[in-house]
Amino acid sequence: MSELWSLSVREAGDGLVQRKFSAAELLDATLDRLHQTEPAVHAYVTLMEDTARAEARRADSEIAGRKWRGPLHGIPVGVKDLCYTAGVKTEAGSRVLEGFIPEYDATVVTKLKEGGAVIVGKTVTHEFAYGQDVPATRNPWSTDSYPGGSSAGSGVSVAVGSAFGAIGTDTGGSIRVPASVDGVVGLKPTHGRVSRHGVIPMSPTLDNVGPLTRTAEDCALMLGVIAGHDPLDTGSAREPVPDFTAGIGERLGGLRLGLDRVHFFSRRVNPEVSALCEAVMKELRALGAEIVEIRINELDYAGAIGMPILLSDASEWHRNYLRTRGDRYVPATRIMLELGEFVLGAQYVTAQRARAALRERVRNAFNAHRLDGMIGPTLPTTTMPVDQLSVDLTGEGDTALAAFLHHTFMGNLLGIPAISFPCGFNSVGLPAGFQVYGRPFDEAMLFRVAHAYQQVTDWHTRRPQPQAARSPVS
Amino acid sequence: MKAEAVDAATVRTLAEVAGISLPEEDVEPLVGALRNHMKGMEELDRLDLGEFDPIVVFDARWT
Repeated sequence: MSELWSLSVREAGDGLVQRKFSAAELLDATLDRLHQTEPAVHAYVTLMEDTARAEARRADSEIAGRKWRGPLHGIPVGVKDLCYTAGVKTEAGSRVLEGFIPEYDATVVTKLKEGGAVIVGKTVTHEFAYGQDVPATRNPWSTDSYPGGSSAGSGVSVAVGSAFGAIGTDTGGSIRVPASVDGVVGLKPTHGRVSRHGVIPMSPTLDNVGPLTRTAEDCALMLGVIAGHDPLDTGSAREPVPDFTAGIGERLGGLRLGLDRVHFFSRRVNPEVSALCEAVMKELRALGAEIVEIRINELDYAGAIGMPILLSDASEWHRNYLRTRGDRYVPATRIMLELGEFVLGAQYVTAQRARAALRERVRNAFNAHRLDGMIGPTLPTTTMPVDQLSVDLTGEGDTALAAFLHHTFMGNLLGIPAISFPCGFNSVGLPAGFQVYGRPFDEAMLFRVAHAYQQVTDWHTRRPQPQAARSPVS
Repeated sequence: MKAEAVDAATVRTLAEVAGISLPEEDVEPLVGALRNHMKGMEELDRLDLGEFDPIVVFDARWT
């Protein structure tokens, strides 16, 4: 048998139900792997070993009694430290919330617990998910490199096997960016699909909560557990939760995937990443999908549209903290919050008007070309050493974060679902991701495409063996 | 105001209007950030958006 920590959620769940091993053994294997890898990658900010062991024991007892709660029952998972966990420190990666212990769980945490998941700990995030600082987490494929963000610890914990799946949040790409650079699968669901109640916000209309896993099938299973209407979230959609695995295993015949080469294969895209993504498209065609070349000029305005909205929304939530605890923020985060206070109301409305225009143009393209989805590289590059990383949005030049937003922001502005899955490694062994956008609430199509690709490739089965960073991790 | 016209004085004035006590070390990066923001708005101003309603949620029903 493979080492337990390296199984998929599906394999581990089957093993638990068939009593091949216990949830306690699965947790032990995961914790062993965690303690082996944490010194090098720092994926977790708070460990919950005692409660995890109690949850694993309860899972074993329930499964023995034939009370199976679903595909996450007895499965060790991580939760981004932006999500409230009752009685457990939740600091959002910031000194502003130092020592804060919520009295209740975020709905997504409640759903994990109701589904029998074993929560191993809280994963590292950029400060308040803004992406302006460099967190302590390191990329397991190159431990002096950026792990992606803001769901840095969630991506890395899944990649190294210190969690089978993890919860992330995505306001501009914060699930898909770590998924891409850490070599895992990440889904930004349709806005409203997963409750944001109890998740520290950035923007009410851009924020999303979603899963990161090692396989597309696992991602579908995890979404099935955490999705659903929540009256405590005013933005929660009253949409039925389908079986997201229903289309998995089907070929891709009949699917039409739009490709805007001008936008997604611009000069910013690294040649090696470009070549890997071209190879994905060749595979997708071989699997039966039709790739349709399109052009949507308005996509190029996504950054200009999204930033005034993100800046204003984030600053509004932080108004009081900025005035009372401003010195506790990382300076780059504080500067973005200050900038958000300078955005004029009329500028905010202009951005929301342009957002409506972008939505219509994309919807028209989907309808005119009878598209099921749109495709392209998740990011223009693989990861880079942290000392070469520029995530600062305050400068006047192009930065890594601005280049990332060029590829990912569209999903947040339109509220449509998007998945990133591993599509290979560059010449120095760093993973790249491929992205598929879908129509609203059609996450099942994304899983169908990603799963079909994973059946003919083995990128998702490779595991990093992280070594301690050459430079000390602060 | 054009993006290139933004300077430290602009930033200090806006901070005063917003009621923010601005650390001195934030002023210079905020000049760059505000110029970036203004350039983005100049891009949006070139779009013809007259036929679109802004995406805002308003429901007059009493629930």
